[in-house]
Amino acid sequence: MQDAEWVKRARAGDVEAYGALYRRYSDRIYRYLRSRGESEQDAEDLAATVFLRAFQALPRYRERGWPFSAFLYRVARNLLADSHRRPAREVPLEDLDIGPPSHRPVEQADEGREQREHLARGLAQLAPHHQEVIRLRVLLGLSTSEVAVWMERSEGAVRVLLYRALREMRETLER
Amino acid sequence: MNRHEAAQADALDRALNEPTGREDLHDLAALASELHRQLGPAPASMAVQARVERRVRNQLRAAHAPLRPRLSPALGLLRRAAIALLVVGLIAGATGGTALAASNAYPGDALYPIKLAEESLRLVLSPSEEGDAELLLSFAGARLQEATHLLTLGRDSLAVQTLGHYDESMAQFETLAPGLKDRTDLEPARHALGLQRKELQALMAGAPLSVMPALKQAEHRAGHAEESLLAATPAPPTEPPGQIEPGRENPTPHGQEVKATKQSGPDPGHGPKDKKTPTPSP
Repeated sequence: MQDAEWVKRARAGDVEAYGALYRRYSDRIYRYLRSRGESEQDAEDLAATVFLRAFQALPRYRERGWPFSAFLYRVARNLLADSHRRPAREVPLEDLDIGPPSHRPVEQADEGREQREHLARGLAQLAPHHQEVIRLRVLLGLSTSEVAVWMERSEGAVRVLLYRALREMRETLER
Repeated sequence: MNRHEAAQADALDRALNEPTGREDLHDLAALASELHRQLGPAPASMAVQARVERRVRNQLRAAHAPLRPRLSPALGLLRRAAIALLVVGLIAGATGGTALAASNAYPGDALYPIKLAEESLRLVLSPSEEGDAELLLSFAGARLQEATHLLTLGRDSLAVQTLGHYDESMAQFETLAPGLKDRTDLEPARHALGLQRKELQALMAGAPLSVMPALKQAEHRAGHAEESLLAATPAPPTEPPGQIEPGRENPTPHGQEVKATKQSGPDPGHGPKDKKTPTPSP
């Protein structure tokens, strides 16, 4: 079923319909919050808040044929901004999720950690919109079309933005 | 943006999706791949997704779903207000210390609404009617204890009001009692009710005239509930007759610690199992 139908039912108070939207997008929102440097616990709390706020804001939601995830993304961004958390440029290294645990020897694990920290520092030095496009397109692996909807830009603009962001990242890492 | 840059951007986008062999984009695509590998967040575990979904559902249901039909409108309204207050309290960052202080609050105290809100939330989260019944009986015991305290302070009007809430909790408990007969050991509930009746009779002995009607009504309600349980066919006993149920050697006054043992099935709800220090939420 399309998002629009679930949203329509959710607006009428159908909690189960909203549950369907939750199951469709919860992982994406959670991973977005983690990519913004939130700890696992904070990301969990914030994800719940995002979905609750989004439900409360449904009366103001305008159906434009976009995925509901774009609306959730805006709620998440506003929530992070409202909470007066760390500036977008600052990415706490210790909170970055680095994926599945490694079984490599300690020396290799240390090298991997250095590399992760190096990359994280580089990312943190980029302009906010460059960080964001890398976060959405590369770290989260969203499609260009979805990133375009989320960032309210054309797909072409997103592609160029990503190209510039990665070039800037490369130059930053080489410095 | 120039056309060359646009073309490079398009090619990079294709390279990210599948290798193209473009040497000039190889390093950017490789960088993207490395970023994804090193910094890409792991998916939310099933446990995390389930926890968040449960929180969202419970709060939405509390705020939007119709109350259970068996609740009286007054208690239903009280519960809605209590839940709303609880949510507000969580937003404000209520600490564990605040919650603890609220548990000792009495009617008229600033934290008393939080105590009621917590009780209401526990009822919402109760997974079964047995759990509901246990909670309602526990809440009734709490109201009785509060009323007793208020009477000792001479706060008669508040005591009357609190006895009214006792009556409401007991009325709700009575509606559940018939369904408990075949599913749970009723002895702890009967014992608790007996204690409550004795407490109410003791209060009536020296209570002001203005409080007597409320006390009589409460005592009548407790007696009626006790009789309905006495008339029930008990479930097969879990231990030989005459043995005290473990943990029930020293029952607390007002029957607040009531354990309805069951033959099978989940334990009655005692609030969320994964209770954490309250964090801000809407």
